[in-house]
Amino acid sequence: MSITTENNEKMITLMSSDGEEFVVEEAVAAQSQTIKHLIEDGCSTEGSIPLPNVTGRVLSEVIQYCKKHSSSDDKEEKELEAWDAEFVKAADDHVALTDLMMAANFLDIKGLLDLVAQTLANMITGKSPEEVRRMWNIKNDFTPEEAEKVRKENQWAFE
Amino acid sequence: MAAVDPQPTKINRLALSLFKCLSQFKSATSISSATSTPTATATATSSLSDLPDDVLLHILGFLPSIKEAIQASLISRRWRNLWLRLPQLLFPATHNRRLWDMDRKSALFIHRALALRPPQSPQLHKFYLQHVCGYQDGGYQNSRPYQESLQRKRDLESWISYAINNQSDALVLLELHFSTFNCFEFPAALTNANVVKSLKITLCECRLLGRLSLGSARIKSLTSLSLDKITFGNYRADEILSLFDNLISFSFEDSFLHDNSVVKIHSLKLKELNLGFIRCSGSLEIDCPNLTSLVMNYYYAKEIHFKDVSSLVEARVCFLPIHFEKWRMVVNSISHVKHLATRNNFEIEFLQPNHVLFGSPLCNVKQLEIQTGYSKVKVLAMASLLVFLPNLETLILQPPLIIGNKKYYYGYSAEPEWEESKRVAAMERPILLQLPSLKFVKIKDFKQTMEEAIFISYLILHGDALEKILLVHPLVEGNSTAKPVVLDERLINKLRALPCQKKEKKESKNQLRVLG
Repeated sequence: MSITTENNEKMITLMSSDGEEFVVEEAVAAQSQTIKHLIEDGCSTEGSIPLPNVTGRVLSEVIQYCKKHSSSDDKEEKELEAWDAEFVKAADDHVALTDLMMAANFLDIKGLLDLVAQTLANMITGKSPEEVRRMWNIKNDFTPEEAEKVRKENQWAFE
Repeated sequence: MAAVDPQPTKINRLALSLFKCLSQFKSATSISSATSTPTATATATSSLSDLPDDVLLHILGFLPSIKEAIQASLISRRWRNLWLRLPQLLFPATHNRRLWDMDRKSALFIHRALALRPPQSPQLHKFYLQHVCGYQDGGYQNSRPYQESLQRKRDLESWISYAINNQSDALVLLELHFSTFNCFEFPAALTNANVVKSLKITLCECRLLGRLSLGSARIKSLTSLSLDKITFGNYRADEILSLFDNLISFSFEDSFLHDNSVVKIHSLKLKELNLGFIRCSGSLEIDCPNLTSLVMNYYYAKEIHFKDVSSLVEARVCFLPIHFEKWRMVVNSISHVKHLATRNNFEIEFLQPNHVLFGSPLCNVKQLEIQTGYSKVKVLAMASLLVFLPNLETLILQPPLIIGNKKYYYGYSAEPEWEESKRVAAMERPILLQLPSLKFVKIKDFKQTMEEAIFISYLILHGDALEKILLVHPLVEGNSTAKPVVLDERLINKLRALPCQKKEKKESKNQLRVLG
């Protein structure tokens, strides 16, 4: 559904996987390349844009990010950096971060994708494989023999 | 504290209660942060495994080096060969052993990583190599270090060729460290390909740069260049920049220039310029109309001229105390900047009676970053500088950075050396900070000393527009640190109004705890 506000900003409605609706300015939503293309293809005129992969909780965070980044110009780069740092800190635990990463990937928002990837990379750095597995519930599917082989294969990178 | 301050008891009382509050506060935060960690890990429900491969690769690309990506192979089957599909290869140096020893090991590492990477791997958009070209002593041709370094030379050519042959667009980043005297030749693969965007060269003789300039050997693709510890010999420093037409960022540090060297930095494209730790009896001329950021860290030249720096937004200007007049001249020439950073080491000049620092106030400056201590002399000196910054909104303080790991630089102290009688005379003055527009203060490396508490008390009592004070504890061993302490507007007003009644103190203490 396209609504126009008083100051002539075109609004669009986004619907999360759990049915929550968000009305945002088109310029804000168009930071997502995926949504931008959907709008260009005329998908937004027939009601709200469904986003089947993104829950309402995550979507509201993504929108918060897009709003901030569409309203700031280049000159405020430093301030924006500080805001970004706070933003990922608020997302806090690594679970929320993987959800955010997934959404950023699906919605194709490069800035957010890089921001969260950097945060996750910082978390992985310096952790043993076992610690990484525990943090994100990754199943160790190596057989003991396999594990030993991989360890030997990569021994040179651990020296 | 001298007893001539306008409100000495109020300051002291406020400082004392702040001091007590803050020291209690630290122990409280360290406890709470320690207990919060296990709960965060326990709540994990979703997983990194839910992410598609290309997203995992995107994350691996942000790891500090390829080494961590290879180590991740042990996580699970899926992660095993992920690193081979990375479009970036980062080989930062690890500086911890003798140069040629270390280099041999990291060379093996690089060889191995490149050899394992299959031909169908994605094209590189980033290749970062910190290369230490080992020690060479021309006299002992059969010595092991010499043979090693010859081998490194061949290695370097092959790695650069690999990067250039496997790159997808012109985004090959390279950082080179040369520790060599006169037998090194610039990698031919580098100059011929013209794809390198960023280059950092450390420790070499300028002859090498001379070779870069030969006709078509110019690297037109280069937008960022850093030169560190360069010996110029008979080469003229003013020619360096003319070799690189497209530079946006240029850094030039810790190098030896000939007497009377003329350094001319003229560029229409240059946006960032970093000049540091150079002393020469010649001159420096800067004519860069599009320059937005300038750093002059202890760069002394007999003559310094600014022709056009009209786009400048931020500048860091530090000089030794003996070069006060240079500092004043430079700050005057860039007085239109918004962000100014400097070191508070000119108190002898600042505190001379009836001394006028600048002809007119620096009205554009909104943010001041200052390296300073908090002794009374330092605070007095800061006060005399602040008089000239009427529109200052943000003040960031941190302890002085140690230059060159020593107290003296070229035989001169980085902190002024006072005659005791003059210091005592200067201390007689009352502290009056003029902060009409100051909203935000950040104190880095906050060590909870009484001197700091006194300084904060002055800020609170003299800064009428103050909204927030942030106290950041120093980094303790790596990055484990207590959370910063925030004094917000409400608390500041409270402290300002009634500094020292028992009940009040208790309340603010509790509030501090909540704010953390």
